[in-house]
Amino acid sequence: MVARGWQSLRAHGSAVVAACLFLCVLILAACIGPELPWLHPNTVDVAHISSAPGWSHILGTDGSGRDVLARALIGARTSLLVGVASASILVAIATIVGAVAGYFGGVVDVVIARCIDAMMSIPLLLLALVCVGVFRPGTLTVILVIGLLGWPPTARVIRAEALTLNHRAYVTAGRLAGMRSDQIIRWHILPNLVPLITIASALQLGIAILLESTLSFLGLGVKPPTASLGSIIEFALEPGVFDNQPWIWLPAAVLLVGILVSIHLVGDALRGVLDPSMRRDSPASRATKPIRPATVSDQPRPSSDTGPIDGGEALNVEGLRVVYNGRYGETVAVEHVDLRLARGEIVGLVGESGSGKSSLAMAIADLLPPGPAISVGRLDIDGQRVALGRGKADRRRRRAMLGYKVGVVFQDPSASLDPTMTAGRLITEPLRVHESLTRQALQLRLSSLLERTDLDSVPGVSGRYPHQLSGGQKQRVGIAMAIACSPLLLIADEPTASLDVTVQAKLLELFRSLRADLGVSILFISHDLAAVGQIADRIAVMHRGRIVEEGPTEQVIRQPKHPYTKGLLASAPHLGRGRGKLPIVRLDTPYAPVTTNE
Amino acid sequence: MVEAVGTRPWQAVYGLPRIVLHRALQAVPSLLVLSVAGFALTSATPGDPLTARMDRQAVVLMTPEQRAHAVHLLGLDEPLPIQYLRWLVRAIRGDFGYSIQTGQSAWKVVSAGIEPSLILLVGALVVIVVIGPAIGVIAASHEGSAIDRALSGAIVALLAIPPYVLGLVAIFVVSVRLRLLPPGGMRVAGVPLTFPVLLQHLLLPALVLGVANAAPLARYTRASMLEVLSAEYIRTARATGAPEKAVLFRHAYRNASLPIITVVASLIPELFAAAIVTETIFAWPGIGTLAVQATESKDGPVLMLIILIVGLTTMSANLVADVLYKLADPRVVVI
Repeated sequence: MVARGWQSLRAHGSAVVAACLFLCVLILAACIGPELPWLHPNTVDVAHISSAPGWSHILGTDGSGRDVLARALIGARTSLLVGVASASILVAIATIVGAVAGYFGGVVDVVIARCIDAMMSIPLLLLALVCVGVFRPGTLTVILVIGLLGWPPTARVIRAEALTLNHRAYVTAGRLAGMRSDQIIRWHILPNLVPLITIASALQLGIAILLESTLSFLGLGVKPPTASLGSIIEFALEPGVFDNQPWIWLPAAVLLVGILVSIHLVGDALRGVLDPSMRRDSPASRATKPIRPATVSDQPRPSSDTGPIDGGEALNVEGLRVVYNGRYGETVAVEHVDLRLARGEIVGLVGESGSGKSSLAMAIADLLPPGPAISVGRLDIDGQRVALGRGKADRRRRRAMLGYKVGVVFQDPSASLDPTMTAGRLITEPLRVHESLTRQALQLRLSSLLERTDLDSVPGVSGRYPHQLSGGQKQRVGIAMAIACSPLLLIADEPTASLDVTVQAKLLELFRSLRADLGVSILFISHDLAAVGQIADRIAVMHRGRIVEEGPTEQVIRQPKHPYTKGLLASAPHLGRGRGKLPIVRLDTPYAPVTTNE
Repeated sequence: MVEAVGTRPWQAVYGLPRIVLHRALQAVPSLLVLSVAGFALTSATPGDPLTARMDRQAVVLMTPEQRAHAVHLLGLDEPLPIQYLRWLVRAIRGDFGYSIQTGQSAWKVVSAGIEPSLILLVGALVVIVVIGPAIGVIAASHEGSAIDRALSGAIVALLAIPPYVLGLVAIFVVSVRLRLLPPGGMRVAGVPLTFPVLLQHLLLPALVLGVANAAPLARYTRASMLEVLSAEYIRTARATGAPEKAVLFRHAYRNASLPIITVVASLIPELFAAAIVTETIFAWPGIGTLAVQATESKDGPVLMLIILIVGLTTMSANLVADVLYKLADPRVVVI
């Protein structure tokens, strides 16, 4: 258990390890140091008053001739002890209050929440000042003040957690089994609060030490002869010491900062280990692997030639490969795919979830999040070769093609539209990026785009925010954005997957009319063969990252060649027929595309 | 729509006034708790209870009969709950008692510190609002790189370093060694307080207070930006062909910054705490310095008034933040 915890702490980096070591060494030194005869904190060396660091006193002496190192160590001891004592009281109270408020709820909860609100509106330091003003300053007062006043923030966090625990099945079960409230709290609620309490303890320890040192620095904390780091730093306020004898206060300040930074680092690491909601991949494991230089595919094979198409090519991809480098090794999402789209052609790309369709589409648009390694043999858009380097200039050039030559429509219109922008603003974004138009021209283009996508029937649409539109309307906004600059190629990544069937039919109609009127080529990605069958000229079937079959729509649907395509067609739901099962296609099934045209 | 939906009177009010009203009503119980605590404190303060409520000169000159009469008049012989109510009525009328230390009315003593404190706090807030989000955005847009690690390290250090240590080191370096700025105070004695003089004195304490408190905002901005940057609408923004900088600021930061207003408001109690020490080491004549002096001289009424002012400011800041947040986010519907 301890070993595992240490392992996870180490995973948080060398800084955390260093912090742990620093704290251990410091605690040892603070325990042993002041007990050594030559490091006694209260021994006065009359021969050396306020002497600078030197051989007899490594860090010098203070105004009373006491060794600065010894003072700093005894100060650290006091600070740590006061911190631990007050943080323990604080966390204990916070746990009880938080658990009670969260468990009982109702009036108890409201009263406690109001008290917490009131106490949290006053900074803890000011509250502590006031109490020190009323009572006698001293070590015990400091401990009690911090412990008794500092609990509200922690109690609030624990209350929230207890509130969620309270609705867990095992708590309900306990209640039904006739357990008393105190039993449920002790057996079911408190044990589950332990991770949270551990994290809070570390954080509050830092806060308590900071507060004690601040009070002592202001002369309102521990009183002589007791010394804490704060009261040593207070010497800085004495005339002449601050600028001329910095060695008297600087070591204590450095020690204090060291303690606080270390506790903070350890607390953060503990949070990462214990708090499941904070767990996420560390940046290192998601780092981008260097991209392989763009070369023609390693395994040259006959390209899936669909014959010459009049009017040239809108898109030509050769040897595209996308590899994700995850925790469990490499996952090949797209394996050496070749794809061509003639001008004005609609190609449907079908396949089940995880077959690599979206990775392929996003790789073409260079919109994949950082992570996967992408390599492309050749990428031509509008008959021009696209530079594939990872350099800034090449990336900028590829980005500039987006929205201008290549429009992209995304799957989930609810998530893919910026919630803070109105529909009008969103649709004109690409125009603002690529064309410098006057306000009037922009308005004109906007209204024609709205008409084009049948959005003009929605009253006041351009002033509406995405959340004020229906799913179909949102997707129309997405389409209007994609075609704003009349692109040559439209990549539609499952544009109808999240919409219902009637809306879907209307959108397919829209895509068809876009092709007819604008002559745009469309790469239409879907797992819905029926939808693709209605709209595509050609269909490419993708399976396990490869295109396994490609051909004219009629042919692929009527006479599928590849067993996977047959399975895919058979498993499409039909009214009145039972559900077919998608067969498992063995890995040794030939994956070279089955060319189905003559 | 004027008809009342609910049964409570404020539910007939719509729009922003409703939010303000609702939140203000929510703050009333908290304020009451605060005032009970404050009253308990004033009563617990050691010393003559009369001097905390009357002009000191008058108390000294009193005969025992007059004194007994005054005690009776002030209700000091009555049970504590009644005393509390009397105190509350006086406080609402603006009578907060007399400072034990100077004998002046507590309001007069404290109000002298309000303006300097406000100047310092606003200065620090400007620093916070400028550098917090900047550090967060830069770190997030370079996630995992050396820049990100350096900035994240700086954030941890700033979270942990006590403000007064930061202040001492700043004075030591900037004022003592480099002699660039005055080490403390708000003005030069005998010289009229002009804006350049004020700015010269304000710069260092405001920077220290701001830098010391910018870390939570920077950390928040970084986390918020990372979350937004992985959202799908950021991919859409990239798909419009907008350059990465435009994506970062026009889309990502706009969305990530929405809750920042709330975060800034939540910083205010901590900011007050840091202001207390910052004012002390920079000899800034504000409420923080007053609070420390009042603690040293056990001046209950002055401390009490400072607590009420700070509490009220914090609650109002939270209220303003709530309203601003609702105005900024189009998804939050104001009914």
